[in-house]
Amino acid sequence: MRATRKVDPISLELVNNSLQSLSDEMGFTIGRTCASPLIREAQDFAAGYADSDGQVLSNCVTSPGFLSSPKNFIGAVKRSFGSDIRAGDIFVVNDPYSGGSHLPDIQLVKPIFVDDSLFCWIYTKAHHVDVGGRVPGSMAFDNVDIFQDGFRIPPVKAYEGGRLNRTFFDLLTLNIRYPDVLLSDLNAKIGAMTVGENGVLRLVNEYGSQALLNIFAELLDYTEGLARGQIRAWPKGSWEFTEYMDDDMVTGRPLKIHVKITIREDSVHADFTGTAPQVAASYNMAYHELLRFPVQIVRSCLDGPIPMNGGLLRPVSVYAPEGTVVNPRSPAGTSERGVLLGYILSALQGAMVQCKPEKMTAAGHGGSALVRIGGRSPKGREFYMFDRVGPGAMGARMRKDGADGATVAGPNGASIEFVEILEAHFPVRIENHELVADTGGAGKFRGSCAVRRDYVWLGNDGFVRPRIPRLANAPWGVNGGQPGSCASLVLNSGSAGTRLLDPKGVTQLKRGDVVSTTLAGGGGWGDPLERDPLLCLKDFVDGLETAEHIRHAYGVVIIKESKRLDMEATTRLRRQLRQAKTARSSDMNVAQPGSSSVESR
Amino acid sequence: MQARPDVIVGVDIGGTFTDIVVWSPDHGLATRKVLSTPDDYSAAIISGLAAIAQERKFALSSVREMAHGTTLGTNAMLERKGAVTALVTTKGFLDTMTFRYGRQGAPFDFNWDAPEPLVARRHRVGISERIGNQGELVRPLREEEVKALPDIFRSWGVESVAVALINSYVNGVHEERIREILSRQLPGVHISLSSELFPEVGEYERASTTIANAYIAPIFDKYLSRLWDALSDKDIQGPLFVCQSSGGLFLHSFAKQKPALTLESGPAAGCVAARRYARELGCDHAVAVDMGGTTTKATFIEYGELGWASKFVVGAPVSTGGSRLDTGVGYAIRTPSIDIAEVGAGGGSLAWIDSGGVLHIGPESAGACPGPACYGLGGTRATLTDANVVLGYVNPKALAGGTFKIDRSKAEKSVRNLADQLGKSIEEVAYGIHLIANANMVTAIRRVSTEFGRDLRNADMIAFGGSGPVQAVGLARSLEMRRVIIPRYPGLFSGYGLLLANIEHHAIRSVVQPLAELNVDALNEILEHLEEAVTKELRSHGFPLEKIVIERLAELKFDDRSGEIVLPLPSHSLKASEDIPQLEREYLEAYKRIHGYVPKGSGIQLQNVRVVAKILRTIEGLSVALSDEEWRSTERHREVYFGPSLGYVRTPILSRMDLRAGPLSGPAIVEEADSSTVVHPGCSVGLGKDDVIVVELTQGNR
Repeated sequence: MRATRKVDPISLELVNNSLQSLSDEMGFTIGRTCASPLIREAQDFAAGYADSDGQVLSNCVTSPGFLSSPKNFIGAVKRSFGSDIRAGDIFVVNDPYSGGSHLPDIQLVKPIFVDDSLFCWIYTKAHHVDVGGRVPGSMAFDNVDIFQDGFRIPPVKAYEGGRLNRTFFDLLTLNIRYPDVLLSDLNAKIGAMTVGENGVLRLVNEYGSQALLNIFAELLDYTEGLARGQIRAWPKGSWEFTEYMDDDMVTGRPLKIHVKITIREDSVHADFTGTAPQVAASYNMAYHELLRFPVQIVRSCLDGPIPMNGGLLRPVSVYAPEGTVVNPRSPAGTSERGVLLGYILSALQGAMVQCKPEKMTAAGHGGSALVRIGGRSPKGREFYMFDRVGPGAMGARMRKDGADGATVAGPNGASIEFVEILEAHFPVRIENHELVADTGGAGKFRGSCAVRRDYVWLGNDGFVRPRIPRLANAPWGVNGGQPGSCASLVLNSGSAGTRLLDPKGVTQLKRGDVVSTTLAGGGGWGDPLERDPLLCLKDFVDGLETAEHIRHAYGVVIIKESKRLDMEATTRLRRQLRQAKTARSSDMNVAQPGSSSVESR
Repeated sequence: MQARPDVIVGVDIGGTFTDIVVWSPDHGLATRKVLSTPDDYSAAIISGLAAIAQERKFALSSVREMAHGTTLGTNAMLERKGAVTALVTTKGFLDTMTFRYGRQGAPFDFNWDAPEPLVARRHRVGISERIGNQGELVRPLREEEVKALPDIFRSWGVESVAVALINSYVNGVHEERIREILSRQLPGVHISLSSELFPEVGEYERASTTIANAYIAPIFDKYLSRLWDALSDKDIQGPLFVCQSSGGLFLHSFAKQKPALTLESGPAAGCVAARRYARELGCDHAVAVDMGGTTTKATFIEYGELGWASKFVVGAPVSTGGSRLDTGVGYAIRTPSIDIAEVGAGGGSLAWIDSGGVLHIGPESAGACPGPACYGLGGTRATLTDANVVLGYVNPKALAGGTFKIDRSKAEKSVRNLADQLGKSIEEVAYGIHLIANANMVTAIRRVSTEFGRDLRNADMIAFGGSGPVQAVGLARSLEMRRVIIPRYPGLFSGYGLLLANIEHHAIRSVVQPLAELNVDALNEILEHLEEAVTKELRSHGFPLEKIVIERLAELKFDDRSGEIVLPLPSHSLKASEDIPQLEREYLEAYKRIHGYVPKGSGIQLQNVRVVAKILRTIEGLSVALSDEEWRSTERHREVYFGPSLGYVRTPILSRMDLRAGPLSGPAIVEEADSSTVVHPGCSVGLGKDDVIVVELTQGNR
């Protein structure tokens, strides 16, 4: 591999560092100058460079996995504009059927010319607060199509030869809510792209344009080579998995996601044949976005630092039949595809855990969980709170427990809000933001415990609109590991009027009502009867598992008063449990994807 | 022997070396670098100090005051050698320090684990109580639960207790009551209250800081008591100060109570020294760059003021390209501090080749032992220092004025090993290591400058630390900076900074109110109260009222976004009609300057007010001018490599003294006992005020 390198390995490292540092600087400029808290605080944005074909060269640190989309929206721009792409143009696009993801994500892309020829592209993407459509914020499960999702932008020029395209901006601002915020956020992105442009032109000065192009090409080959080199050593074969989303929002039945991963020589293919047909709800995901997830899972299986560029896409391919939720036909809506995302990753993880168990985990809590509470404060002020419930739960790993208070629901910069800050701003009081005992799936290694967060409503005319995954479909375990507990949504838990909350719609709240959210617990890994009793004892003294649960799930006997293990009783109990298990082992050997346990290699 | 009580001392303890800097008008400045004595750090201090006293012929009893920087707290946290600590918190919030910010530290690595919290979950207790966000009582404190704790804590062997309840930043009454009950039953156990130490909104950061304080307090107490006794044994009576992360000193008796304020004390002292140079030399904008063996730290100085940060993180993994956007691992510490960015690139950073045949530097470091290959202590892998030896940037025979031997052949061998794998010449690879390390360091500098919209082309670089002067000119060049300043004693800069630091006591109170709805009378009362409290602290230790300078500060932010801006408040009682609109104007101006944009429709919120009581420590006649006794290299010329187009160039080896004659043109190497300044061809080098080395860069000759 080394003998064929055309480019000096030192320049390669220097240019890679420079591009990374410039991309971060673009990202920081967006974070610093944008108007919307969503972009700034939740860091829901991307910025980076792509070569003239749209292959990503580097991304800012907020979005290392944003590798496949740029090629698609740059491709859409090229198809649309052909030779009419000129210096000073800035293209804009948000349509999922032209390289976008969901409409609130608006991408800007700017061609950079050196000596009159297209040298590279600079792009930025951010989740904007509103792009019109049926509901404020533009996102709702029950948007039946993309027209309800908001204002669609095919590839058009926002700037032409350095001049602002008034027609576009006039049309846009008339069709959305809060146009001032959107305009300043777009300006923040345009400012960041100027920073990026100056930076890459400095590199052209330093290295010369042809030499720099060679380095770009080599950087992509380099990442591809590192990835293929490692994949070559992976087990070969096909692994399948079926995951179920709780509810398809149309029929009320679970929505099926099926994937088959095939590893051949030095490449990975993910086939989603068997996945549910597209739905008349906003749960669909644009086909071109799908590649991102197998790439993400492959990256998690690779060792060492690897520059995150388009070279990583080359060994990975994906297929899904047209008309499914993961390859929908227009006008399927995509605004809440963030919910589907967690389950897609989980399905891929379920397939991949059979091949690369040491790099994967059992299933986690299932992705982005939100509680949205609105109403009036006692003083009559109207407000709407958008709170991320978290952190989440992680499935057990091959050699250790899932980390409590961690999550692997996909790279997401979003933080949980401090309780004291929420209370200072909204008429709510947060109680019990804590891990819940006995919720991690049992196993030789247990899944991490579920996270609970309760909201006490202190205002008037209140309502809650939750978005909590895995209320019905528990996170699966691996190799005999037990599933984690399901999520739950309860109103006034422990009091006379207690009841389950409607997970799909809106529930009215009166002052003093308590909304209790508990996310799912992580799935376990391996036979619980093989768990080191000392780990059970540690969980007991740490208050993460009760003695009763430990006895029942692990066959480990703890003397509560002295906080000691009764090893004799444990040996006896475990023997009994093993015998009972062998007696019904014929039911146990088939993996029950989506419900209990997967078998790994 | 003189007995005039006028000797002042700065001591900076690091994991490997203890730097001692002593000044007196009669004896001038004396410095010494000695090996640290981790079993009892005070031993190295006393013996090093005694050696200087003997050499300069003064009595130890003439030491008037001592200022101290130490990594003791940070090391205890990183090595998890702190006290057995328990946490008392509000029922339902045991896992605040496990959840942290809710972010994943390594998004693609599922086997990654965050550092374990400093208090094990089994040692956390949730108590029934609740204060509302206005300070109102929601649920009373169940005292019987608290009264049961002493027995439990004794059975756990608890040495220190952190108390951090929800909303205690507005009302600490329950925390105080808990201390009252516990302290009566648990004499000798340290108790840290979050409402007293750091009454700021945000339960995770407040709890994390309080826990860190509790975790290191017993060790700090023991160490400082020991040091104080050892000093007393030598008849040293003068006050002993400890440096805080803010760069201000406080009395050691306060450091025992609030050790969390000292976690960044070493780097902070270096920044204080850099600030002095920026002021003296009239640099409106300067980047202070501190390059050590493992990391490089950068901070920005604007119009003589250091960048300020409200929090930092201890124990985050150091990366070669980490970014400020990527936060949330390690232990959050919310105390006033200097804004310092850090990357894992220093003299000891190891060079390595990955499976794709590409050369990388760091973040792994050879540390002090075995250290770089050229130290001859058993290291065989090439480090940045080895590359610099091969290139001729660093004396190929000895360091530290000849006391530390260098083996050039070992450096060459380590680099050749990489060169063979890459199929390149040894010089090309050494130069590559030098450039890649610089590129990594650029990241730290950008994080405190361009990421805040600060233009580096108008800024000077003040470089120090062991490797700083070696890398500085190349680094400045890649950042298009024009001037590099190498102060005196770049290798002992933190110790020197300790001589210059002021005494500062901070008091803070969270307000969290919209500026538009502010109760100004109540705010004036708070400010008066804070001022009284800090003044009293200093006066109780014998500082006269007329020497105390008071600063009042406000931290403001927009209500829908983070990122506080600190603004000075007038010293008089605030008037709603004048001072508040003025504050609003200043905030909007500052916001626009930093962010380039002012959002519409967001309200301004007063987060915290802060009162700082300062005593300015001006040391009459403190001079660091060169003397004839300086060490100088015997070598007059050396072959030095300046990149593929120039190759090896016969380069004069100068001493700082040689620059007295007037500016010279590069290439040149200025060699001193504790550093080596590399002046590239096309630059000029001369001396500035206080005998600093000034390198002027001409652009366009990269």
